[in-house]
Amino acid sequence: MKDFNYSAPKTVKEAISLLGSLQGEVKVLCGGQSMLVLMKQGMLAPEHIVDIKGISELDYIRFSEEKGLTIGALATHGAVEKSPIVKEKYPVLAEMEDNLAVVQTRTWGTIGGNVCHGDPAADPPAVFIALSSKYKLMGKKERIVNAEDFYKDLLEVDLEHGELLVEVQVPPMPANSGVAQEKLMVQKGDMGIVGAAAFVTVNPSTGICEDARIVLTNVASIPFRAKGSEKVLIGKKIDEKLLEEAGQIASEEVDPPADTHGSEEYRRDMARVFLKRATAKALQRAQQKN
Amino acid sequence: MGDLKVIGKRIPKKDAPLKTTGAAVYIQDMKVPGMLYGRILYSKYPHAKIVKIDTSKAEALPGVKVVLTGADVPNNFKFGFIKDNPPLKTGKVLSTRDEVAAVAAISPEIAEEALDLINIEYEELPGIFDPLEAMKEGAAMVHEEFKSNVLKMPWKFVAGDVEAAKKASAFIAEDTFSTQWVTHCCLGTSGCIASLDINNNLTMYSNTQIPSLAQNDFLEALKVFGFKNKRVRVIQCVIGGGFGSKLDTYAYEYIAILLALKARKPVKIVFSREDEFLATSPRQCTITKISQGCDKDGRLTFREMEMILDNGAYTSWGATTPSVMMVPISSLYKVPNIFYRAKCVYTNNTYSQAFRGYGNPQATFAIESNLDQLAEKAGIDPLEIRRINANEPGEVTPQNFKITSCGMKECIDEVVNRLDWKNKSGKHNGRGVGMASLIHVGGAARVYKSDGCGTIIKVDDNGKVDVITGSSEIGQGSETIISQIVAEVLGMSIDDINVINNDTDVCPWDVGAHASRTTFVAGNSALGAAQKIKTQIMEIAAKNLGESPEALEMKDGIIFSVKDKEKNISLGKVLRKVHYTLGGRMLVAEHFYDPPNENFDQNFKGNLSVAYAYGAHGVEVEVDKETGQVKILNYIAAHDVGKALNPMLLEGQIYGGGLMGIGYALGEKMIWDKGYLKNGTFLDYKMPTVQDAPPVQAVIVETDEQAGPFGAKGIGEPGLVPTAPAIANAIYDAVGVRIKDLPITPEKVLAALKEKEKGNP
Amino acid sequence: MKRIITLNVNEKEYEVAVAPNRTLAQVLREDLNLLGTKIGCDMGDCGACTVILDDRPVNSCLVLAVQANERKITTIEGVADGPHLHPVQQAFVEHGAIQCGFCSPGMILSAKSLLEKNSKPTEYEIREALSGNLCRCTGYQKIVEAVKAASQTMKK
Repeated sequence: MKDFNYSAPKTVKEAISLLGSLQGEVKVLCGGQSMLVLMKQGMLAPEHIVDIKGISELDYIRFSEEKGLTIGALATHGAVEKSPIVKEKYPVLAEMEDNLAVVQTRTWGTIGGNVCHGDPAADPPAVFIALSSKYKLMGKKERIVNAEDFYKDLLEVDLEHGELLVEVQVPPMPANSGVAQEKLMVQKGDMGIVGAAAFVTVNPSTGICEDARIVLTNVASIPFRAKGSEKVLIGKKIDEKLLEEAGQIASEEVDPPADTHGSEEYRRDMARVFLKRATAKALQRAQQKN
Repeated sequence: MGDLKVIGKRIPKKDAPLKTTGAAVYIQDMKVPGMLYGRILYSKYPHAKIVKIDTSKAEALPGVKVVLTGADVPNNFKFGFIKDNPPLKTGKVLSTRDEVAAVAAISPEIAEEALDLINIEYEELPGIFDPLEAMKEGAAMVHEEFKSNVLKMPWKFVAGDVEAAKKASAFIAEDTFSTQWVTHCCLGTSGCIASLDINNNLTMYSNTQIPSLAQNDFLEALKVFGFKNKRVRVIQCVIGGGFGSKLDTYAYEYIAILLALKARKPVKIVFSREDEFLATSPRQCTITKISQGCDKDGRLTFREMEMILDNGAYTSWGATTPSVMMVPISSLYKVPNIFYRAKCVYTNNTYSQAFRGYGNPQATFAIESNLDQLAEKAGIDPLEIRRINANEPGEVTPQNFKITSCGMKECIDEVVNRLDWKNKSGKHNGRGVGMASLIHVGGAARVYKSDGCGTIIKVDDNGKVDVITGSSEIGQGSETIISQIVAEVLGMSIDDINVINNDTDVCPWDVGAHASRTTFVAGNSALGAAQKIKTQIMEIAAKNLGESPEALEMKDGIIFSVKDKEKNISLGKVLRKVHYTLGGRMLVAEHFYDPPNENFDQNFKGNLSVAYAYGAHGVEVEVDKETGQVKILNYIAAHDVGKALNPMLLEGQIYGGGLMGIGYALGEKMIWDKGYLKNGTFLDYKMPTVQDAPPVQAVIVETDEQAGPFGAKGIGEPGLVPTAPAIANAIYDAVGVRIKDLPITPEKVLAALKEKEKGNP
Repeated sequence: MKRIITLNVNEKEYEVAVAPNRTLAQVLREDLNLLGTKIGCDMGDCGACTVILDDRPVNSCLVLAVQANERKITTIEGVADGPHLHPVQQAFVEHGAIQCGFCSPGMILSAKSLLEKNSKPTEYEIREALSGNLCRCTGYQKIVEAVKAASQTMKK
């Protein structure tokens, strides 16, 4: 790992003023569970590292009925996994964390670091997008962006020079909704050959799907919103046949990579299967609530 | 065998407390004064001419002491099984693991930085990465001087008349199977420290599995480097895993010696994980054409196999694995007519070496998968065809193996009962059961002229015993087993036995930790030495007690008269009696055990091992028909071990081997794409984690091998031999698709299921 | 540029001058000579370098030493109580959970960290807690058995 200039601000204000003033390549370090690997591999060699791990004001998980869940950038994966309020109100996030990497990574790795890394195979961005979440960014001014709009390209996100992601905001869950995430893992905790996060709302009296947000991982350069599939589901009663149709559309719409873990063809097929599985589970949960 | 006090007990490993507290010193932890750090630069291309190397910038970097290239290797030195591998390459590189330059510097970071400053101009050449391509007429030569890409090794075994047997067979099944490159994944990476004294005598701190042979290799190298009549001392640190990876000497060791010679300082080279994946030698991939036949009752009539092995760019012990592949090919089940031929083919891939099982897993995958195909053709339960043809004690196999103890049928029965085979097989409902058997050498293997191991035992003034053995502790527990054997003979606690096993200056000769031979050979050697020292002790004690030696017994460090226990003397006192007297003597015994096994003759016949290990694995799987994922629900590993000297350590070998086999079957594969390794990290090379480990039942079948120490046979390798075919057979039973190419990935299973739906077999 | 940090390792304070690009694993091994922390991959994939940092297991190869400034660290050297093995260590010895031993320090620290928070873990929880620690020798079975046994003795 190449050497770098290191600073460890203790407050958000300090961090932002530092980020605004530094020249050359600057990287923000939280848990560093992905970034340090890239640095060791020589793929990343920033001149400055701003380590925000010590900014305790960003380490929180809060919930209110009006605002929903807010997760500070420095909340660790382990904290999200174990949080009673998360388990109660957003169990999908706890389930996601249970399958996210290994204990050591979850202990030190942070939500903020994960969502800013911009890896299309990562689970949190997809689940947050399915949940219509927003990210709060602080720079010269504060910015709130839709999680969905934050991802620009492979490892590229909408963070401007001097900006810091400080919070993930997950809105309250509608009463008639269900969410689920499923992924195809070779080994528990791995990135998943393909994954799917699905959010659906179901009209309790008619049983008709009123809204659907489905996001697939590892099938494109950014988290993939399966809009074609959603369109098929919305306004209809979801059954096995409809799910199959939605899955089929996803398998055609995605643009998956081929790598050592799976061919493009297999990933397309698994996009279909996992879209179906996640949606079916979300649907079941929505119906249970009704 | 009487009343055993120590043998057969679940005794913890002697080195376990050291290892649990972090006090064990591995090569990673070793430092010697003045030491420099070496790093190696590997080739950028799998096949290229080296046009120019400019090391000037690297040499100018502060802290860099030596930079070497192929031009600095004296007298065209080459190493390896047929001496085709120079430690640093000149002229041409033949694979991406080819060493092209090396640096010694005052810190690892500086050495690493220096590598980046070495400028090499290459002229890329087209490479050959497929052994089938390499065998074609007109193919470019990997080694031009050999005039052929096929190694000149006559791997061919014939018994009976296969053609006639084919005609007489009622059923024949024929198919082609292939296996992949897999690597050892020792948690502790490879490394060494080369240190030379003023007279160029070498001390090598090493984690080799073959200290005596490595000593010889280094001595040869020094000779070629121009230093004749030198001494080489190999000191083994605690070894962070072996599995065959350290059964040869490697380029990095010779490079460390060359760097140390030039720097006149000790040089340490320790592999990074990336180096370990790239530059240690894996299990080679194979292509096997097999056909087997049986009569109408299911009795096997013949077995015919042709194998092609990717040797890679250089020749190490991987090229000799057909000698062990022959063990199951000639002798797994009773098969009267055998034809086997194997070709090792040079390519521009990494080169292959020994890996637990030594070719047996590849051969057994083909044999046992194909046996299920034959059983289906013949309409016989896969279990029955195995029972009908199972090996038995007293048999002499076509390769002239003399089968002594044999618990194959018992192992099969254990699997059948524990899996509930009768109720679970043949359902084809997404769940299925499968089994496969194994034979492996269990009483060493005569690969060299000697298959021996020496032991020296000495007793100190306080009645404690030092056992100095040639055998290596590589984590398997040889130190503990040897202690148990000596403790049993001498009637002592194993805490009073100290095993010295890591220094060629002290330890007797041994051929190495391979062929599952350590318990058998080093155990027999220790047993012999213990008996000799016991005789001496008894004679001295008898003299002191005024009894005959036969009237005495020894227990807990006390020698006493059987009739009158009051008449006794402590072992320490016996020792002091002989030390503190005029004309005193030492109490030392030595014993060299070389098993009465045979080298193969030129037709590959001969009783390779004194005893043979048997086993059977059975597995129940569930297949997800939408994703192709295979889940193991139950796994039975039954092994004929002769006698379990320490059931706890023995189970550790079975569990460890079993999971390694499961990784081989279901996920592990080194992906070499046109000569480049694509998955050289633990992130991408899917070695099983604790969550991938299914519940495994280790079943120990004891057959009391007469030639073994207290009845024991070897068990180091067998655990992974039948795993892959057992799983493949279970998948077939579950969903009716046969995967013939390892590893059995979900993607392959799903593709096969889709083909099956289309009606293609 | 080097900076002075304070590490509280095994209840002892160490002041060290470190460059910011040094990992905690490197500093423990090279500066503090605590060689029981093993580096098996240096990429956070194998868990051999696991230490307990502020009561939680981390891969010390993926934590910068400067990030551990003024934090509490337990390495394998701090697990035994003088000459007395910790129950987890004792169980690893007695249950044959150790072969080559290279993964053992990290494995033991992961297990210890689990049992400190959860004295009655299920087999699933044990496997989950150890999933970041690779072992090539044992097939993990005896490791899982050892952790179960340690949870029994620790309860007493």
